[in-house]
Amino acid sequence: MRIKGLILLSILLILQFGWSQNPVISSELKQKVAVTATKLKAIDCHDLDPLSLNATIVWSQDKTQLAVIMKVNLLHGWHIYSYVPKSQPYITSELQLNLPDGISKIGDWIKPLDEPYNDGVYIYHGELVFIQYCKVNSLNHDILTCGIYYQTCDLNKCYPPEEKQKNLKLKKHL
Amino acid sequence: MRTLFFKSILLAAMFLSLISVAQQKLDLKVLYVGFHPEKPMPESLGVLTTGSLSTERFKEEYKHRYPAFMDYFNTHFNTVKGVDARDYTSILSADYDVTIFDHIPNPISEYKELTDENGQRIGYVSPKYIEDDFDHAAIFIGHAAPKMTSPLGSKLDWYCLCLDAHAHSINSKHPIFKGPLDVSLTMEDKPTPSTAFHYASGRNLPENMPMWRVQTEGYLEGKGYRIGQVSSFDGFLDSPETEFISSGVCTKDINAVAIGRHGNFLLWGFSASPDYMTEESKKVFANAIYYMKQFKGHKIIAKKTEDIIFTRQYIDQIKYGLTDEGYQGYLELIRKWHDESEKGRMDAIQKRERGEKLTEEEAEMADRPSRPRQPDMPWEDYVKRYMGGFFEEFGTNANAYITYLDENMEYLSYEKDKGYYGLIVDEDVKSLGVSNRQLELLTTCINMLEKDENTELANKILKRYTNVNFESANEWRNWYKNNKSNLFFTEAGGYKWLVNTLPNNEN
Repeated sequence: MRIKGLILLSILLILQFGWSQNPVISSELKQKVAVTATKLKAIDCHDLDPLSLNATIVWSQDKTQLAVIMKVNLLHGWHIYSYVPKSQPYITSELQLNLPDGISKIGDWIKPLDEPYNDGVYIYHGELVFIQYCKVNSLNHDILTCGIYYQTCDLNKCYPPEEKQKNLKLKKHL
Repeated sequence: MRTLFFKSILLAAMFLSLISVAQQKLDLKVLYVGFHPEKPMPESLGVLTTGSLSTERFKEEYKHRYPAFMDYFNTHFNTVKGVDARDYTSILSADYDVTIFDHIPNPISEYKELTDENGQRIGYVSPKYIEDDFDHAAIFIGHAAPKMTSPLGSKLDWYCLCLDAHAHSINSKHPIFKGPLDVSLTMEDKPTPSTAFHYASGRNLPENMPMWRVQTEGYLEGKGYRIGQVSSFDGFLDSPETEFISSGVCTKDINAVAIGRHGNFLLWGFSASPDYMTEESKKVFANAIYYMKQFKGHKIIAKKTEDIIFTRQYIDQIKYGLTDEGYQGYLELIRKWHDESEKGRMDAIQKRERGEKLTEEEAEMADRPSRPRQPDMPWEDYVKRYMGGFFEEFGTNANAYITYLDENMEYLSYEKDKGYYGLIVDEDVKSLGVSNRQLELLTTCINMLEKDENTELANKILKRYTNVNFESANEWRNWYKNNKSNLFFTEAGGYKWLVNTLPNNEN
């Protein structure tokens, strides 16, 4: 319960940070996003596939905005890379979003704080929430695709780069 | 006097003949698979296309890499053909002694996601680029090795795309360093890669090691050059169709395989095209190609069916990790990385304040928010990392876990998604009190079948630990008698007793 409260608080703080850059986003949508992101299930993963992805969409009440929420779960001991300098060999994670016509991004993905690793590299581990707010001008197609391109490593081993994507039905979440 | 004269003439003739041989092209048919510069660049420039070359460098090298390889092959071999990777099919390899894959052809099967009854993803099947029965001798440059051969079960797996420019821990007696081209390796003492010290295998490493420069540029110089590939050493040599030839400077352990052979496949992990190879490595690479000719028609015997399979070589790593020294060392490392990063950030900020020009990396650092040092990972979380599925049984009692490993050393086995990289204790084998890595396991089970004792258990173990299946005790006995001298145990190959089918068992 206490952990869930902390996660909710963290998400609210992240959203607040995002809000200062994107004042057009309604506070009602942000509140919904914070609650949904906390409740969104982190899918189990294992050594042979140490990253899982879950995602959902949250609409604003007036249906002019929406938020794509991705929850990435990394198995204990495994990490992905948020920043890799040119002189290092690892692969930086890339967040993916394929929006249908009529929907456009508001700002960039809101990301959790990463952690320093060795030689100027930064990493993510554990349960991560990525949020992208979008503006809705029209709803012509029902499918939105989001995902992540990444490389997982633990202290012993690295996997080849991989991609995980989710197709989300926009109308289902209206 | 006359005899001496004739002897001198003979020696001179032999010497001239040797020089002439050295200048002759090697009698070998070589097929090169790369990206032809006259074809458009691939649309997607992901890591598997570029080998982590920066986009700018990839575009620059695209014009030169293929011709550099072709010029080099034409200098050394008498029959050479190049083909664009996108036009390659394995039938083309049939007419050549050795195929060199520098880039990855189009897949012949698709990536498949495996889901359970609830639609939940439980795994995936990688695409294949060559057929299961591919038996042509082949050399794979860098990441082409794991991407193309792992789906076929090779041990040339993706340990890390992180190999730089130098080789070390070289098996210098290997034929590729002996000929047909004469080569003498220039060794220089260089610092042991710092990350190697973090592994159990790195505890007693010297500060410097003798190293051999393979290529004139590596990614560590930060100019965006293609990164090389290493495969995992764990279980690499536990089947007879493998050879470890060299390791190299990378971010993994000191034994990581930079040059190694599994069956008809050779990993040449170093990424350079010939225009970036040293004169010495050009000769060794030519020797390696010549060496591989003999493996045409071979196949791998022990198939590594998963990307990670626990082997007993991990035991030292686990045991060390579970000591207080291992734990404190880990915490110290995390603190050190944080402090170094914060220092780098502050240095970059100060440099900016002084009005000096920042590098791309420094600008990135300077723009990052400050972050407090993470709290130390609690012992419980740390132990969980090593104990995996066993945590529920042993909790934070590391000694209990170590005792458990010691007591069950001979019954350790692998099961997908269990324990640490799949580590389990095989309770069936344990119930017999016989080691699973001794032939006695098979004879005990066959004896049980012959005596009609606990046949269900005996059959289960025999099927689990071999790749054959017989109905009767008599058939098992005959199979054992016929193959006894050729049986070997492989952990990386899935904890199996397999038959060495190499011609003449030359290994």
